[in-house]
Amino acid sequence: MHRGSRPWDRRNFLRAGLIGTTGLALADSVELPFEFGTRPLVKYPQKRPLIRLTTRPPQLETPFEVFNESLLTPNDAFFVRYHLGGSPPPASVLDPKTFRLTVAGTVGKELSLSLEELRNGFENVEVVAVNQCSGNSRGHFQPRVPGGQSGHGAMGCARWRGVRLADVLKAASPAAGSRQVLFDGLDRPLVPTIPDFVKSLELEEALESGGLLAWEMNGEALPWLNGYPLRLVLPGHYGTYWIKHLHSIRLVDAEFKGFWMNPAYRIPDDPCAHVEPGTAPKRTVPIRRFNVRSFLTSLTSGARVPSGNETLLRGIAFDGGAGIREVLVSTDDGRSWSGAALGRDLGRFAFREWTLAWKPSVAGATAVKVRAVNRLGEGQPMEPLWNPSGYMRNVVERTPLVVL
Amino acid sequence: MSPSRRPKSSPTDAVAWLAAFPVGLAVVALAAVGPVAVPEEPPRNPHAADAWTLPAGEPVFPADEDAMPLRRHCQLCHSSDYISTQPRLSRKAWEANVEKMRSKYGAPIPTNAVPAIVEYLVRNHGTP
Repeated sequence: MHRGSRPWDRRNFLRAGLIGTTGLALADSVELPFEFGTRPLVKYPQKRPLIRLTTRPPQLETPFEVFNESLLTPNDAFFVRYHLGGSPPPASVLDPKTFRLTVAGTVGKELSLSLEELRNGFENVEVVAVNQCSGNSRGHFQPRVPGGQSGHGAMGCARWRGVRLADVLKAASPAAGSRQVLFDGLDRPLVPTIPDFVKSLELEEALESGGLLAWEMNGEALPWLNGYPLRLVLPGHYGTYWIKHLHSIRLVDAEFKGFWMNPAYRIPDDPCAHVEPGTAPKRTVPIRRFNVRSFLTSLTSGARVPSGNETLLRGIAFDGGAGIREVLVSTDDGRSWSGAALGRDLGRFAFREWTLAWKPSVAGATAVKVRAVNRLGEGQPMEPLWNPSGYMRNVVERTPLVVL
Repeated sequence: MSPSRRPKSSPTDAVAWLAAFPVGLAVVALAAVGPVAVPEEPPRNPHAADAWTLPAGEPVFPADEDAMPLRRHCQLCHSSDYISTQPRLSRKAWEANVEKMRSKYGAPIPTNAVPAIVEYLVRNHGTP
């Protein structure tokens, strides 16, 4: 049975039991574990109370315990991140009866498609995929960096339904010499000097990305704040490419140089996207795919665990699309590691559940660490890697606990 | 939300966009949970009937004299929590950020307002 409508009842019951918590309480705010980390919990349309990072444009973060409730993140808990003053676009510009997606630029055949024409004109497909903000976990960077100070909740995994981006691009017959594809949504700046939020992909990349033009999320219409009525879903890629309220696709024969591709959303041109803390990269490239990450979700920092009893540790792991090969868990703060059992495979772009039974015998402070390895053999660093924009954190995370 | 439930309204302009942003505090917090069987499917959205209206109110910069340049030039595009949630940064880092907002991002900040904005940021979110 799901418990989406009144999740707190069961939690209160559990709190009275063996699992204690710190850092979160029944209150109208939460404390993220870094300076200036107090955040209000605010209820938005179609959302349960979420951690509000900013009000205008809105940035809402998923309370971390949601990741322990289900592998697919509920729509009403899915994170929200906007960039422009005119966000989210009001209902009046999102009318599904008048909405059109245009495909234009260097194409043989310009398209202007209603939602109905999209749905009926192309094969409908589904993918389970993680969306993660480039700056997820930025608040944990040391030294701290400016930008949206997220905890770990600017990510989520959903089942997306739509049509293939590649099918729609092909229907427009890209002209020879077409180089990039630009994506634009209906949110917009309030001041004409501020650049519209437009993202670009190489045409080849767009055709091979497995991207969808999606109208449905977990079996329902996209929530307003997650891109209604249509968004780009680019599995394995950071959320910056997942243009919400997508209404324009434009092919061009040159490199797009808009603000949101350069200087924004760029990482050091280095295999690990990092530089010496406090220094600037010599060369940068656009951020692209997720690196490997994994989390413990069944216990939070400071939880008390009884010795002598078996506790089932659980969490999630994901990567940029190779798929997770193994998850290793340490219950002694990194001294020894055990292989966790992997749960159902919802596809190579999805959260992969892991579990490990743990029977602590020694009372005292300890910490659980988790690290995942993908099918390419890529893992996670034991020490955090740094870059000046606070992107792509994927250090092995540590959850301190007390065994009673 | 079903598309047919969407309210009709007139064509939009910047004012209509602006009208949409407000605040409200919610009262329910979520606490950590212990192990239970994890369902694959998420629960259904219990708020399907919500209006297309954002919560009322938003955090603003204080009415103090030293915050006036931010009220004038920063608040047009973003609420004050874009600053209040930032970490402490060096003067150099704040200068670079204001300059990025002005010259790269295109925020309409007059050059002569920059020193006062930087002063405010350094005083409230500067490294010691």
